[in-house]
Amino acid sequence: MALVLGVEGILAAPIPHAMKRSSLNEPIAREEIAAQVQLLAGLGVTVSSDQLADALYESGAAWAAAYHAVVDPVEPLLRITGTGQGWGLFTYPDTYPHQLVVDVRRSHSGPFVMLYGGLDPEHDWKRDVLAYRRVRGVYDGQTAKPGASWNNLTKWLAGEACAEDSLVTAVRVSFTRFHTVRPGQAADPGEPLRHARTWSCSQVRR
Amino acid sequence: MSLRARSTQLLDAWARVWDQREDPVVLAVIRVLVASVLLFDFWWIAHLGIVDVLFTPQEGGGFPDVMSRDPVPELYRWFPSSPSTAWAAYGVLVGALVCFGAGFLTPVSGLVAALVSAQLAQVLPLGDRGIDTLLRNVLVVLSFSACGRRFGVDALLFGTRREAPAWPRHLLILQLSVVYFCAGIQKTALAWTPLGDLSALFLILQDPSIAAFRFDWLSKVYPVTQLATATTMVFEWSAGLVPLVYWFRYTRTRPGRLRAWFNTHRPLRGWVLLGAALHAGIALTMSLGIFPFAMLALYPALLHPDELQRLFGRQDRAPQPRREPDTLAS
Repeated sequence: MALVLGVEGILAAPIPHAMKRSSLNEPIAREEIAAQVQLLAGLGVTVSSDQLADALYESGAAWAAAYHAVVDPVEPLLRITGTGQGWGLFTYPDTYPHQLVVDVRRSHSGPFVMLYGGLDPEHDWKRDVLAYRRVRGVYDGQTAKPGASWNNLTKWLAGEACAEDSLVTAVRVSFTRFHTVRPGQAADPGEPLRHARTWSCSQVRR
Repeated sequence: MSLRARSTQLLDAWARVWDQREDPVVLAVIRVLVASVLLFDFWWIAHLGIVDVLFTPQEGGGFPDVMSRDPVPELYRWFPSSPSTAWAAYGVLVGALVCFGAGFLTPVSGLVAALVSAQLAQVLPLGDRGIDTLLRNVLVVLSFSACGRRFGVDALLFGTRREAPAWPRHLLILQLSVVYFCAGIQKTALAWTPLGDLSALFLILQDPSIAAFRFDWLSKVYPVTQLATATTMVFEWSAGLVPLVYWFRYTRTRPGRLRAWFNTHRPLRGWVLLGAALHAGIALTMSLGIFPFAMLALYPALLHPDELQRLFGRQDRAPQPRREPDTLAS
């Protein structure tokens, strides 16, 4: 029992498991670091954003190395049972959230019209599927650097849209990125068509 | 006292803490609730018609790029990467969960459910959330408990047990405490603090992937969201005190004003109500699927079996002589 609790305790400890210096350049990280620089300045500590990011990266990387030294020996058991102790829930509220958008074109040169647009009640095609937590996980996890799953998801959505409406000729799936701010603050303009994938129905019809 | 004698005493005390016995009725209730939540989640996947696309590799028409990963999950190392395999795994998992919920071959069905769920998690890691990991932890703990010997087919086949090891329930209490406390201490974004204007929940509810509805109007009640953010932090940080509450109960005859205060005022009741309210709020405002319900399914662990039976007005057995709660006091 003591051994199990010891290992699980280390798994639960808020230690980074991996560090990438580039992830500290993401907008949400830059915003957080800027706020911390300001906070430190208020305490009389002068440090630049880059210096703070470097320091955070170095200390995080050291902790990650220590974590792996302890956890790697039991990792096969954790993998096969799918158990663990990582409980970060909304650690950093995303101030640059993405909204999934599905558009279709019903003629070869016509405009794209929206089928699905996040919480937009007038564009709620397949909302139950796209809001389901496991499907949301597939596209939520692709907003920084889309991978193969993003292509597969967009291709499947295109196939579904083409199958449902014989007039549809092409389907475009993309993200619109927003900037959420506190009341009274100025937000950056939205950035549509991020990571857009466009499929013609001839590519995806089953 | 010599070091050796002191060590022996500590080891004995540690063993006594984990070697308590109680009616496994609470574990049986959690077994049924957890199986119900998971079965609903997997029924919903079938209802949406996405079993094959979620769990079949891209070579078979699904989302996951699982075959290019290292290691490839055993499911697709041993079986073809086709929708049939995904459906077979889904069927085994649902079957195991039905058995587990019914308390039929509970240790085996619980472990099978956990292992197949872990395979599906490896197939589509992006679709596997923290709550799925938590429920697998619970399935494994319950599989090693006597939860099937109350309100279950196992109780009919092998006999009801009125006394069984209490450590699985104690582990679940610890697990709940760790989940909340770790979630709290990892909320290091300034938005969770007064320095960031306690704006976290306001910002989260503007995220179209998270919010259940449009909350364009939320700025009009911004102070309410600030209060909810502060309450969330207080609730999660105070989860670290939950084991202490139980320790104080266990050693209630020892002296100490703090111990006496905790045992007299029972702050755990308020904490549980706050947690239930927090999860009700999440269920109403966020699109997080089974998360709030799965967390609430674990709350019965916070009750001693006697408390649970009193809650439902049942005491269907002769009262057992209570073990002295302060066995460690010596």
